[in-house]
Amino acid sequence: MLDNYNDNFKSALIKKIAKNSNTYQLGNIGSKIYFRKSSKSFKLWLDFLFYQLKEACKKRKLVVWTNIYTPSELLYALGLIPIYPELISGVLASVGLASYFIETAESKFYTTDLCSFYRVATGLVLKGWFPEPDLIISSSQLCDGSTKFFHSISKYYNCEHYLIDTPYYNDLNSQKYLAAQLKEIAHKIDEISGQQLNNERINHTFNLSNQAREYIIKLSKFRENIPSPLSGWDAMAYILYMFFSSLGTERGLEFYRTLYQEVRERVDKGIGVIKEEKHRILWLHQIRPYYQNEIIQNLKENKAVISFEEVSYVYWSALDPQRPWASLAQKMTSNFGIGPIERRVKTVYDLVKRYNIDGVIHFSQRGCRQSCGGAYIIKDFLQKKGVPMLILDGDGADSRNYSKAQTRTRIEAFLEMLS
Amino acid sequence: MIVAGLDIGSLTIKAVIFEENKIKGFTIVPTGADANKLTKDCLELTLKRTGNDFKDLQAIVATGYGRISVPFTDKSITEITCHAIGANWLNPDTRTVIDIGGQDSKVISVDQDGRVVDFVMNDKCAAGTGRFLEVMANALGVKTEELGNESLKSKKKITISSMCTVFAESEVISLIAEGCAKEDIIRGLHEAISNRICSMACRLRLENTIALTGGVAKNIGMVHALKKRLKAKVYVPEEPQIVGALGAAIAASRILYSE
Amino acid sequence: MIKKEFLDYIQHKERIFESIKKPRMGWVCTYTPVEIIIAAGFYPYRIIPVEDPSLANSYLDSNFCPYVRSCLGEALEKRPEYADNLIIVNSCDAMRRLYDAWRHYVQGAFIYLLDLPRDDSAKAIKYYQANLQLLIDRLEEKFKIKISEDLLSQAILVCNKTRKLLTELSDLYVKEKISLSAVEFLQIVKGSMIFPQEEYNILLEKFLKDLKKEENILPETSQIKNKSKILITGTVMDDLSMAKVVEDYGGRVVFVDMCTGNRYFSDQSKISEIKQTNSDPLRVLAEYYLRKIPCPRMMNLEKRWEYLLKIIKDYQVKGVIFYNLKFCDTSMFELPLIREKLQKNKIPSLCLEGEFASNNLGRVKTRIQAFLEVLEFAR
Repeated sequence: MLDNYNDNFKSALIKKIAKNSNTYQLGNIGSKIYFRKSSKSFKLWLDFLFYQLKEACKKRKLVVWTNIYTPSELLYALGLIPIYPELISGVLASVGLASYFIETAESKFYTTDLCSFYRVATGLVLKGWFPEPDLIISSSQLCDGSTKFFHSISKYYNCEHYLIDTPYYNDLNSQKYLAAQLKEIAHKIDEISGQQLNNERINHTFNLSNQAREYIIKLSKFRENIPSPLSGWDAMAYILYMFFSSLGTERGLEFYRTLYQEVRERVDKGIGVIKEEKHRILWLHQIRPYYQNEIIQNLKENKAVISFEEVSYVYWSALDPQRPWASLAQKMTSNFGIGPIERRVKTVYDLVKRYNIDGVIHFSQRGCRQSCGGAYIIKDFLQKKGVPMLILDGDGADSRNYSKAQTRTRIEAFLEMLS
Repeated sequence: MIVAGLDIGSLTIKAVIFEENKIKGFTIVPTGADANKLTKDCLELTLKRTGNDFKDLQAIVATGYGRISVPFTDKSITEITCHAIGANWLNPDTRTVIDIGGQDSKVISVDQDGRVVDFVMNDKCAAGTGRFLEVMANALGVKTEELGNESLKSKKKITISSMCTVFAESEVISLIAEGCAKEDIIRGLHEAISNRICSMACRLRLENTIALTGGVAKNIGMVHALKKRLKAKVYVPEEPQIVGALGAAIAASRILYSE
Repeated sequence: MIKKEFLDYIQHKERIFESIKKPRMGWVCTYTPVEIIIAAGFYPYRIIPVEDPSLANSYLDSNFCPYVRSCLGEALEKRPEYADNLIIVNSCDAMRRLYDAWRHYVQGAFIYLLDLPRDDSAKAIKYYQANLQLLIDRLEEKFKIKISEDLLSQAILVCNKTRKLLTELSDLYVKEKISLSAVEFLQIVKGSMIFPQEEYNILLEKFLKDLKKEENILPETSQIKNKSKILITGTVMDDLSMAKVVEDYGGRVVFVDMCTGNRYFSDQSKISEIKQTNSDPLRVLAEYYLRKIPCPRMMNLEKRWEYLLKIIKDYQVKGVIFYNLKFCDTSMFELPLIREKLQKNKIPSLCLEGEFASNNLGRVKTRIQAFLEVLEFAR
């Protein structure tokens, strides 16, 4: 849906961002720009995005920059306002602003070999367009790029960086190490903010997260339906934003409740994403290209739909407010992207079976090592099970690495093969 | 039943007229700015040769990167599927197709019926494609067609390590400056490309027979380098360039049958 | 022992492989505690490939660390030689994917991934120590051996000796008291990673003794002082001849902050100190490895910068060359920051990229020559 943003919105956003380095203004106008056609959940997302930026500008609470695999429940329980440079980079790419920031970063020796999302984010930092962080909390999962990006911007802003070093193995010793780190961070933040983290806050946040989680699980169940009621293309856009940033908030819960109702209505009426569904696709890797591109049209023309994507899979169990640190640690180590590749292979194959998948597309983001490094092993495994997989090279944020004709040929040839 | 297959590639346009399971005629012309008109001309020229008329054509299928923009076709199919069909028709033993085209190179696994089982393609850069060889031929002052025979004269092994077109070009230029023989450099280039293609091919299960298609398969030096590296049964069609268009033509006749 | 003979001997790993009958245990990252490998009765050798990684390209994309791809490529090519035992450290994304690819495409008897924390906090040391214990447990279980504290302490002594000897050599080299080129120096360091440690210590000690003989000590000349002193910092040096290029154009490499250079053995003082307190050898190892000069992979920019600055001052470095292998995310993020700090300190720097490919040298030459010309002018 982000691809169908209307031009007025885009130009207003660009104008406003360009004019006001103070994003408070952006927050004010942003919430008023809706387009008539968009769904309620989309509006809720937009509200959430601008609300958070606005809050961050007010500086009434500590502003923390963070990454997507840091459990948001930790941040909300501590009363922090999180900013997600990775997600915002995706949003900027979708409104065609990424290249401006990428060029800025490249002029400062951040090379084109780096993940484009971090190049956009670095450009954002260098241009000083977003609310500055009071501190940075990031986890080392899933990639080195994330780990070092947050470390390097902490030097730029001269602020504290708490790295949550996520262990490789999912064993007791590892979880203890992780839980101890989370607890220590919480205590440090208590000291800075002067507030006391109490059970009530933990209870409240965890409950909100758990309730949203229930909706996400129900949504995932709906998506088993034929025809697919929700496009993976949307799931990897604004829904993904909420998936990583809103768990543990009222707004997050409201978003998922609304989305649940929307999808439920489609399921009840038997409405699919496309009219005639011939190929059900599973999309691998956390992201997709966010700039203007023809991939989803190419799929649609050939009657293919992204029925599910690995990033939306709920891999963690419900949080337990009685043992908050162990519980959050468990959420982190349950991620199938950590540890030996077999974990991911197993999850992928489970999803293939569960969602009646005809073909798998692994989007190989240039500049990503952690995901692409395992793609061939996944492909080998799936092939033995008779599931075809396409490794599609591309770039999520840097449109200079997108070749329309080449991408189209690869997708079409793959779908011809499935027929 | 007369059908046509068109392959609008990045360097050349190919047309094949196909009748009752036989190739009736074909034409190859270089691509230009107005691909649509050139495609039409190419098709008309072929029809003239076979003594047919546009009206005689019962189906037309287009392939190649320009397949979508040609208005007068019945269907567009990617070159991956077409090369598989074409190679299978020419030699039913074909299980792997290596097509080195102008801007893309691809390795395709094919079953006994000519269906694509799996495929891999180069990443976005030009390394290991026809375009790469063209740039290098230019740097060496040799015509692209002559590269093959030149390389056969080579007596000394030179390793070219850069695969980026720009870097490889500068490497070639510095090798010339160092006084290396042209034929040795060309052989080095062929080996570099064949290494690249083979590591791509190894991502698939390579099975005999391997058909080499696309314009680059006309380059005898390249074929030698690939054969040496693949250590497999290699089949080079008489006209490797038209395999894609041929596949498209066969696909066109199948459309008719299924109707 | 004559230099040529020594260098020749340590450079032929095939010959070494043949002559050593002990079972081998490969390693790829300098955060691997080779002490444990020695204590377990294995001969540890670092995989430092020279080959073009083309075979690996079928399993890892071309935008992957060339060192990792070359390791996999060489292993695929020389399967029987490599397919025994290997310890990989979870030092970066490329390494953990190497662990996956190795298990799937090379295979072997014992392939282990050791998790490595990212700083030297008390928690991290404790966690790393526990990981080392896990490694020991796995080794003991797999090979039916017992790795006692005594064996570990002995192994620590052996490795300390190597580090001490290399430091001694490095001091003589930097002060140009001996006739040793940068490439020769780096070859000796590299030799210490592919040779069985105990044997290597004997050879190196003998070699050093010979070097220090009066007739071998060079007289001080003014020529040396006029050379621009260069610090090379980066990841893995694929082609040692790039150090030769620096010297050919009138520079002098005084310190190689890479895991195939000084970073591998410097800072050995700390481990000796800890040793004297007679504590748990695993604790000693955990502390040593996490506290040594950090690789860009660790989360300690300040520490890395402080030590680089100290070297720049101590050795009167005039210019810094960054030599990173392509696609190394951690060093790519650190480079702009270190570069900026250098600029503030008015130290010129040059950024080069390594690819594990021969014939890359032509481009490198022009850049290095121009850089040295700049340094010359600045004087």
